[in-house]
Amino acid sequence: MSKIRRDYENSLWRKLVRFVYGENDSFHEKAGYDIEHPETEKRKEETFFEEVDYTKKKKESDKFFAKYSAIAEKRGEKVYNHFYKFLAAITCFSIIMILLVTVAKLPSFGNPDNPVNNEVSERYIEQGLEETGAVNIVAGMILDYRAFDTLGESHVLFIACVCVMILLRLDKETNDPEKLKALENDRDFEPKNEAILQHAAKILVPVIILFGIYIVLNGHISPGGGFAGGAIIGSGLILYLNAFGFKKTEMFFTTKTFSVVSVSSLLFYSLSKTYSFFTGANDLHSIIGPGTPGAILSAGLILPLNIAVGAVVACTMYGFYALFRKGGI
Amino acid sequence: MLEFLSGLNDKPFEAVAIILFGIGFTTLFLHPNLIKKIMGLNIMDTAVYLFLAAKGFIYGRKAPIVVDGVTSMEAYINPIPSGLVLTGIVVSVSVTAVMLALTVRLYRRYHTLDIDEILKIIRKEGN
Amino acid sequence: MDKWFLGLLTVLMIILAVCIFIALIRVIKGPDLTNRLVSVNMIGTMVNVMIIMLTIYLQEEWLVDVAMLYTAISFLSVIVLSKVYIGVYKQKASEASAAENKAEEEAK
Repeated sequence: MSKIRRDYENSLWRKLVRFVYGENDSFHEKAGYDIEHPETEKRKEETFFEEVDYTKKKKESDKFFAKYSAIAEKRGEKVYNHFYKFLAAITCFSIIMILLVTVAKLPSFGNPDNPVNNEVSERYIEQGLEETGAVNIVAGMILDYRAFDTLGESHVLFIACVCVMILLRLDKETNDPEKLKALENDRDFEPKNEAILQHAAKILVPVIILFGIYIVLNGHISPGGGFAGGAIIGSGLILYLNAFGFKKTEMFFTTKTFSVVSVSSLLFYSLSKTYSFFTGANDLHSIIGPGTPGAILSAGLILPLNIAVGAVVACTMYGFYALFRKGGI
Repeated sequence: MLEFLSGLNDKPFEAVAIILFGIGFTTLFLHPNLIKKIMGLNIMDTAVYLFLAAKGFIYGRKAPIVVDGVTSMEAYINPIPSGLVLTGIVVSVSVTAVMLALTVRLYRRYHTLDIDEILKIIRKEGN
Repeated sequence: MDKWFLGLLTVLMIILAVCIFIALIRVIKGPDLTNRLVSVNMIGTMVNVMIIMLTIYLQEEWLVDVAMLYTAISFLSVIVLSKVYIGVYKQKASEASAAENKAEEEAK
């Protein structure tokens, strides 16, 4: 909000307003007419108001003001809602057009001579299998050449889960009535004991978790890896939780399990990568050799790192769901 | 104009990615509902993944998984954008979770998801 | 691979894409939450079929893993959504009955 200027009365805008409303015509002064000065008018008003019942007058004017300001507000919202669609369309269109002009000048799609396909990807493809032992070149890239990046990613996931825990955790010994109400609501209206879902979950949960373990263990010889496999294991846990409720899940998955599993996997990851950086990063003389490409027990440190990442991701996915659903793991 | 259209015809996937990006950007900046703002951010993320994946593709080549020990540049697509997309997905999941948690806290405090209403209530409380 | 077979797959994928688009319209427009839920489930199934067709079309057998992953996630999403919706419905019903009880007591 801008301040009202002190010399507002003498400003050009005020003069224009006065001219429009006919309060003070500047031509009159020039012509020498006898007109009332605005200050005298003001004084007159003050004396007039001193005599009347001030509180009653104020109440009436407040009522009047509230009535018309409400109308103005409502109308303003309506105008805004109409204006919003127009503005959104224009913004969307202009941003898309500006970016499309840029895209039209980019190198063409699917061309092997593009500048993206430079010597870096050539090196990864041609030397990757020999140096890391991973058949899946992407897995070899993200867990060997750029493993530091993946370490940061898994820490980001863990820290996000901890942040959500800080924001949404509901203590049972809390005194806050709103929190207590939220705690009761989720437990009360949770649908319980659905026969179809329970029978389906009995068959599906082991299969889903087994598939997740398969994806994690085959991270270096097929697509997938720690992130995808961990997400599948987490979804299996969420299905179990949905079918059988929190009491049965708390028998094997509590906050303690969460912290122990994720912290120990993150520590294992950090320690093993520290070891490999300490011994000289790329020319890694690991105790675990690359092995024969294509076998499950191959590719050096990639398999254990995949398992660690998968454990962190599974815990985090389950943790997110449980925190949002009931406010606690 | 003709040059522009032929340039777009050359790269349809990038053009679609840009259109998705524009839709997400508009929703993020102009929609008053907090949940829809988060949806807009997620659409923007998806557009960026599509753009990166399209940049990595090369006609007639296969996914970067070594088959029969062939390790020549001419057999596989570019693996670097795939790794970048993986990083992006993980970060986007964490950011979305934290944003949703903050939205839940805001809803518990003000009982509305409209950002304008929340600002009005805050202004009233401040005075 | 037979050329005709690949052509047939392309045509089927185009038809599926049109179907997905129609289901998407129902998701956006749907008057009720149940309509939206059913159409989201339909979209999941059709995308799954499309991924399996792509497996044959592109000759990349790794994509079957992706299809299984997609099945698991879409099944889970529909279950969680319906579960949340049942919870919301129960809460609304109990609040309405509580309000009715209050009105009856006041009438007495």
